[in-house]
Amino acid sequence: MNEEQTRLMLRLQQLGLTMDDLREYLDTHPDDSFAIERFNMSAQEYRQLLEQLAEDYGPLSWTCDNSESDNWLWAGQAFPWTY
Amino acid sequence: MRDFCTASGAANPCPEGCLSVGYTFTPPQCVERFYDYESALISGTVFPDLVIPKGRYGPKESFAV
Repeated sequence: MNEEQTRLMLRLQQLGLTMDDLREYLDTHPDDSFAIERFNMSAQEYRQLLEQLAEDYGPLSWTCDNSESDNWLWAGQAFPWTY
Repeated sequence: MRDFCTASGAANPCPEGCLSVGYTFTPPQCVERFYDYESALISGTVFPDLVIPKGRYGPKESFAV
């Protein structure tokens, strides 16, 4: 994994933790607009980052877009634990 | 109505004289601030108010088990 990919993966983890924590909070505080705004901001950046990582380094999840390729990219790359 | 405790096959979870169930009162806490993404991952939470490391309770807090 090169430096840029490592940086993007770390950012994805950071966003992921924030979304996870906010999801639990919003389950009990569904009307908290302050938290909803924060969640929406994080989720948007998370989706963009996921797409960027998929384009640059291959899909992180089998649900990532595969329409640009005739091959099944998900199985065609090294698994994350084999880096 | 059948008494649950004597229904056949129903295991009575509590032996005689066990302690009664405790109820907690957890007031709804509204949040005013969040950690930034990097600090949240480091602290393990997005809520600064939940991060109360040793020594923050006060000089007399004890973690002796």
